[in-house]
Amino acid sequence: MRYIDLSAITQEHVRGCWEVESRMVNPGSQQNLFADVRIIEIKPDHYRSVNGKERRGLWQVVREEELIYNPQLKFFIEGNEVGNAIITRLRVDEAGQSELYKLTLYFHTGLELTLQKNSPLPI
Amino acid sequence: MNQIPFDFEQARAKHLLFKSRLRSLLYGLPADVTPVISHTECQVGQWIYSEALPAYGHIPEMQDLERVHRDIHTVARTLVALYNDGKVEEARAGLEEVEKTAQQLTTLLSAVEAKLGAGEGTAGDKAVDAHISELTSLARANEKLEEVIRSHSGRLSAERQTLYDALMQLPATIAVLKGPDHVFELANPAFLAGFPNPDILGKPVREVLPSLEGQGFFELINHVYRTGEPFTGNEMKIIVSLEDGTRAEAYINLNYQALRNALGEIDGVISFSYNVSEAVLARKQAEESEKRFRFLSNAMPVQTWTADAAGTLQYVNEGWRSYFGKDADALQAEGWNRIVHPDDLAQVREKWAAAAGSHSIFEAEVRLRQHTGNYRWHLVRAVPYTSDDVLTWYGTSTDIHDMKSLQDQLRQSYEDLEVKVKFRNIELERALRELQKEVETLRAASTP
Repeated sequence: MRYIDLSAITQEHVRGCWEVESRMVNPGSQQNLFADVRIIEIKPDHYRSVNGKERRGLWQVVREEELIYNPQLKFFIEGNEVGNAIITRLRVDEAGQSELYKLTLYFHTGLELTLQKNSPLPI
Repeated sequence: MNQIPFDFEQARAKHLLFKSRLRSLLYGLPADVTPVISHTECQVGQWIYSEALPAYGHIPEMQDLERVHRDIHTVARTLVALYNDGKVEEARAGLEEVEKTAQQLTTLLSAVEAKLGAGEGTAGDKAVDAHISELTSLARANEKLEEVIRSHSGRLSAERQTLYDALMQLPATIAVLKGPDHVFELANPAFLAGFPNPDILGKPVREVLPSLEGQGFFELINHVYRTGEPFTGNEMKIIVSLEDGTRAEAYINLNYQALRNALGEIDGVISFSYNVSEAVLARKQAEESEKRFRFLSNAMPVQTWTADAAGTLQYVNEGWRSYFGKDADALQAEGWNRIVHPDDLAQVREKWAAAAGSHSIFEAEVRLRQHTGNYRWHLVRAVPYTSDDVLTWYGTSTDIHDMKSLQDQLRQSYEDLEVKVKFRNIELERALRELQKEVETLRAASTP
């Protein structure tokens, strides 16, 4: 088990097809578009979220280090920001021949998602 | 008839030789025993039976001479047997009897010779003179031999006494058992001290030590007596009966050796034993203590180990072996570098140098590599203990990985909470700023 330093996380780290491993939803976050999402696929030029129906949009890794140390992952649909989350952790576990990655996102509404993928990073 | 003087003088000379040999044997000097104990094998006997009896057997004195000669050897046999049985003084005292009988033999030799008229000078004077001269030389040689024997005998007596005294003072138990029944002939004070009634001499071993029956010792003595093969046994368990009727366990180092007489025949067994119970029991106690230590050590849910002053591992418990998958030697060969996480090595070296230099407790939280390759956090402690100027480190390695993980999780949770609160505050501030902008825009629009 190892953690990737938050300061070293780049856009390439968050790319891939992530499944939601766990979620923490509070009353304020129930309206969040990502509250009941099952899969978030992050490709270089867009993202796709699946929770019964699909949504597509753009995404961006942003750093505002003068305000907060953690990188932020922002989601947009038709120019509107529909989600903003800080990355609180990116953990790598050995799983036989491959590696299991766990990405924890905390949205400003209080929603917390832990995403996981079982494949090597594309970097 | 010319050979008569020659025969008789030769017989006298050979008889002198017989007496010298007998005396030599009884004083422990090397001599051929067969012509002493056998009346037909000695040279006089050979003369009597091959020449004298056939030629002069008609003379009564010749018949007497043959009988007396036989008697002399019978006595000689008895004396040699006595000597071999250790009855040295008794054997030597018998020499006087031999001397008396020998006088009879000499007298009879002269009588036979006279009857044959040999003394009247019918033989050549030169031959007689030569044999008289030979006889005189032999007599002188015999006197010298007697002197050597006396001197040697004195030395032997002194040495024998010294040896006897030493045996009597030895802390080891010594006993001489004679004959097929293994009768006590000698026992030193250390041996006798074990008996309330030390009147054991002359009694068979089975009668004196009935409690040894069934323990194999009598069989061993029999074997040594029968075969002559010595037996040596170390730390042999022996159960002995005490005065109060109870039985006690003891351990002895034991040696049984066959005793041989001058004929080379086994006629006894010497027993030499040393009580090593104290040392054996102390060792057994130490072994038991060691066993308990290992049991306790293996029962503990931590890795325990000992190392010498230089830090070289000496012992590791089962917990250690199952964690690292190696024993102390294999681990030592690989070195600590292979099991301590590289990031923790510097800390370990520094703390170990300080503890080793001051003989103080070593303590460090380090990651140790499991045989699977995973590292887990351990609290490693080692306490120095000095005994007989030898320093040993007694160490334990306790797995604190879960506790450390929990600590890390708590710390991270706290940090996460802080960053989450900060993030939400930033977002709220951003939302507030946007709201303020909207309010200001609305105000500006509503202002005339």
